[in-house]
Amino acid sequence: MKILMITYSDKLSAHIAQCFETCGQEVILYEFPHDIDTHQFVVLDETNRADFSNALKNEVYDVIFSIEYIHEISMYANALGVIYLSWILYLPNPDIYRSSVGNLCNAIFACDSTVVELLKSYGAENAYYLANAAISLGNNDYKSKYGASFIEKITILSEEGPFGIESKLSAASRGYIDGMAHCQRLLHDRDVISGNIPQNVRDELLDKYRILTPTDVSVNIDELINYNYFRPYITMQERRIALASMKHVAAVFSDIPVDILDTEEKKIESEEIMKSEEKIKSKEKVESEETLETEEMTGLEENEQLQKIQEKSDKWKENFHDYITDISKRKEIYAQSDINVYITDRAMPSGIAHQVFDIMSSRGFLLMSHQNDMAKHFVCGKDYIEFSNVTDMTQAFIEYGPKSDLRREIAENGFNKIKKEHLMIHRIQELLSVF
Amino acid sequence: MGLRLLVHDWGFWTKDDLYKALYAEGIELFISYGLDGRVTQKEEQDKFKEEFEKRLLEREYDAVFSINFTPLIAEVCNRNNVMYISWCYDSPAVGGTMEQRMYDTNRIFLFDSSELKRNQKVGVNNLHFLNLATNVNRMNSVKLLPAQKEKYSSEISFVGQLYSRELQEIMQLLGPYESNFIQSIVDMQMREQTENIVGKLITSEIVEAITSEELIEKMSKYNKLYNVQEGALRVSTLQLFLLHSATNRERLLLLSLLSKHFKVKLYSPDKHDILNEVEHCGLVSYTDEMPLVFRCSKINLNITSKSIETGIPQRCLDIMGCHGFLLTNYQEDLFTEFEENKDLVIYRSIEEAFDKADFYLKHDGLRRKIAENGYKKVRDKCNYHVQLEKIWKKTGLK
Repeated sequence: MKILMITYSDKLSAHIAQCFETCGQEVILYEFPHDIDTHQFVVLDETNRADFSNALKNEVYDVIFSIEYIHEISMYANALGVIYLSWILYLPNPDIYRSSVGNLCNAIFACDSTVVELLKSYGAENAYYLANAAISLGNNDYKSKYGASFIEKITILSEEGPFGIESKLSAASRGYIDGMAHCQRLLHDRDVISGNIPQNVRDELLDKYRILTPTDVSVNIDELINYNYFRPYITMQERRIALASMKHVAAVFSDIPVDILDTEEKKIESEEIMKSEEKIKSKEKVESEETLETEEMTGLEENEQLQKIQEKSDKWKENFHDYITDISKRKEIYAQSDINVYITDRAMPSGIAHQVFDIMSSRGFLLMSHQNDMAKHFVCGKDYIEFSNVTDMTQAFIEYGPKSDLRREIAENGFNKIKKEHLMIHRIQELLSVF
Repeated sequence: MGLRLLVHDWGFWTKDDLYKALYAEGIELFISYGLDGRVTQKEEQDKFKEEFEKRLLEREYDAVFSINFTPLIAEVCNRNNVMYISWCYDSPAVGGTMEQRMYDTNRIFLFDSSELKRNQKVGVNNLHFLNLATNVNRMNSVKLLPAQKEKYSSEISFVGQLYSRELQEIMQLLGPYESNFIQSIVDMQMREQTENIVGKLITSEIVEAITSEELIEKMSKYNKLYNVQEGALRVSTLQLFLLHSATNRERLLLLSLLSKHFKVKLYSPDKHDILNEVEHCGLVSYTDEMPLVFRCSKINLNITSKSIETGIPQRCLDIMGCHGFLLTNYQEDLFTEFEENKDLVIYRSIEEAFDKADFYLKHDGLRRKIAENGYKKVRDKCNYHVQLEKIWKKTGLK
């Protein structure tokens, strides 16, 4: 086949193109003159449109291929009678809500089984599940440099957004959506938002925070509310809560401003101080009739407690580093960490993020938040470990932290599975066999 | 049988049936009346223990027996090395401290398998699963007079509480943010027919965020329900409140929906504005009137309180034991004794309840057949003799 592959000048595109060629396909790479962002509704500007039209005019292609689904590409392909293959690897990909998903030219592959079901419900006849994969196997040996590591960006949402400190929603609506977000955060294995927002809350939310969509988008509005507001908020909450509980033991590589974590730390710190002060006060009340010596000891204890909190408060900052964009550096850290923690963005309801494959292909021991699709490919407890909430995560640290041999065994199992079945070449072979 | 039991009588409503069954087994019964083991103040608890121990030491007993688990009795029995059998008909049933639950002298029988598993997971042993029982002879001996047929006849009947009054009073104490936060969790639970998710969702942070003196005081007013101790709101208390709220919501929604299409009678001390097409019939007595309601209604609804996670509530057995046709919400433990669509009918959503009610009202023959099957199963498998035998066997008293 002759494939016109839309590329973004990244390692992944180049590697996928290579995999297609390894499988005997002819690949011509195409890059838009102006960058596009598939995490928003894609609207090609005139330059991009003109350039793409020219590319299609000059050659006859059997297939147009893109990573992520792009509505306008589907429209072009449909008009020309060319097959449009897309593989959704990064979520959100809002173009999946557009009417073109029903075009007969489409064969849409998605790395998330919930998204596949969604696509089918929106009229995509040819929607298939195709998991993410590792680009390559890491070549770093395991070395225990970090007790645990967490490498991830944490989006800080606007304070004026629906979940922000200065939210424009009424207290009643804010209470309700906070409750829903709380439920969704703790219930990993199902969507509890879509279709369940009460009418009055939904109306107020949309009134105060308009969601602009192209006119052909006709999906359940709750799904758009979920994608725009709930999922980013829940992801942010989840990652921040996890960070707060492990930052004293893990090396953190993130873009979150230290001040925010520092504020959170101060919040925890001040609560601890308050609790300590209350304990001390109640102790003083009970011992009020005792001798001066006892009172002096109480004062000493107070200072010790506060000093401990202060020391603890400063120490975690030493573990805090900038986010690492370079994938080979990340893989190095994965290989050097006893435990690699990963919390999937909620934009991916069931699927497996590429970071999971990166960790496992680096021989890293993986501890991740529950994702339904993991069970399709891996065995929890044998290839990786999962948790459903922060308590479980902490428990896993306690359980697996001291067991070096077991961790290595699990990491090795995961690595071998990746090597055998979960490289990009395996996926492209699978894609071609389905197609 | 030759056993001698001391029974703690706190006024439970199945006592006539239980005592009759125990006497029929040839058991020598001594009943301890007038003591309330649910007291929360230390002084009252000490007084209870002292008095109960006095009664226990009056003679030698093979075991102490109670309906529901009373931690103070467990303590007294443990101290005196006397077996303590508790057969629980409430859920959650096992309260008290871990120490009180784990006494070697305890033999606790639970009808909710998920409560059993939860306790076993934290190391509470001496627990057994045991469904409840009913006395079909007594219930079917209640004569139906011609004048009563009209009174109790209906297409659909529901006997039970709505919890509306106390829920309204308590929710009014919360601010708009807090009450709506709680409401979202209640709505979530209401949609989850097969799982108790409140247990996962209510954390100590939430309890702390909504606690106020007025709230504690109001919930203490319903202390027997919520067991507020020492002026503090516990996670378990708030969980129970939310489960009642979810039950309330489901009962109101379903009764309201059904009443728009069918003749529905509600036997309850509660009323609610949205049930304006339901015929409110007030309270009925458990022994004299309830059997007639079940017998005369074409469909008897059971909407289990959400605090009972998987167990078969007493209501289900009573309905079937009276030859009543049972339409019930899903409860996992139903399958330990019954077959769906053969002995009873189960719904898993409000919409499904409506569809099934509609179907079975139009199919009299099928409905009567199912009712008869259900009756035979309850008569043969869920009677006091059969269930008590299981207790004697498990406790080694037989």
